[in-house]
Amino acid sequence: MGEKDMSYAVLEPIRPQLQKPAQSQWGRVTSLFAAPWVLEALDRIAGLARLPRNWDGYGSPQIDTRAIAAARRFVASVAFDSLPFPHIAPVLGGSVGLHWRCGDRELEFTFQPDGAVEFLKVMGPDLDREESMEEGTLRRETETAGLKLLLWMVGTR
Amino acid sequence: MSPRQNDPAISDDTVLWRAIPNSHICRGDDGTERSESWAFLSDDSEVSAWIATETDIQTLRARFPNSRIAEFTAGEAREYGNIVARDPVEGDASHVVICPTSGKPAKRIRKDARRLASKARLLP
Repeated sequence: MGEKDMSYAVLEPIRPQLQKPAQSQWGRVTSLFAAPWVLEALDRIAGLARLPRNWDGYGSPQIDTRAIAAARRFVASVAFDSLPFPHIAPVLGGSVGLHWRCGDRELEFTFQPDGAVEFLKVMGPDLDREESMEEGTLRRETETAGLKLLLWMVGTR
Repeated sequence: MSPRQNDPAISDDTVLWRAIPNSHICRGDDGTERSESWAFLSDDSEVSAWIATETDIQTLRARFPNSRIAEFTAGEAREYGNIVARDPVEGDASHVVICPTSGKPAKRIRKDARRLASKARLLP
């Protein structure tokens, strides 16, 4: 079997999962190409690489290619239809920010160059309540953990 | 560097301006705009702002061309666990820095940045 065939053999178990998600808690996860916002989001994130140093006027460095890659992988992994288009932003320190809002729930993700992903959950409009927000850092299995947070936001958890 | 000290001479009702990159402004479902929390964070925990009565908005806009100006008070910055201290740079005496109070837990910094971002008013 040639190299091309080996590659196909490795990919084969993954493809059906993308095309026809299992009917479980992941039932809202659909094909990458079924969610119309995904391709535009991927392009916009990639475009952050073109920002010059000091893009914010406060001396921030260029956006790190590792942060861009991590944010794009994450978006590709959460391509479900019921998710709104995120606000995509460069963030200080060469990071990439994604902000989703769904009703009175919000999620901010900050993808850092070192692979860590900071998140901030916002629950309800009264931000002065201590329990209105929760923050943390995802360091392992960031795509799975991030997806769980997004499912919370859209109300399925 | 010694820790910054809160400057009590900057009263709570002192109006501060901060330039917010356009990319750090989001719109709600009703079309209202506000700053993202990222606009009130800094790598060195010192967020720059300017005392409104000691500078002019055109100068600030010229210095930060791809930005909007957000207005808030020193009291609002302090309400969310920060100190406000003068930091004259390059002859600009109106420049101040907003820093977390000593001992503030790191996990509160992002939350308080979000709170201050919600309070800040974006100027037209």
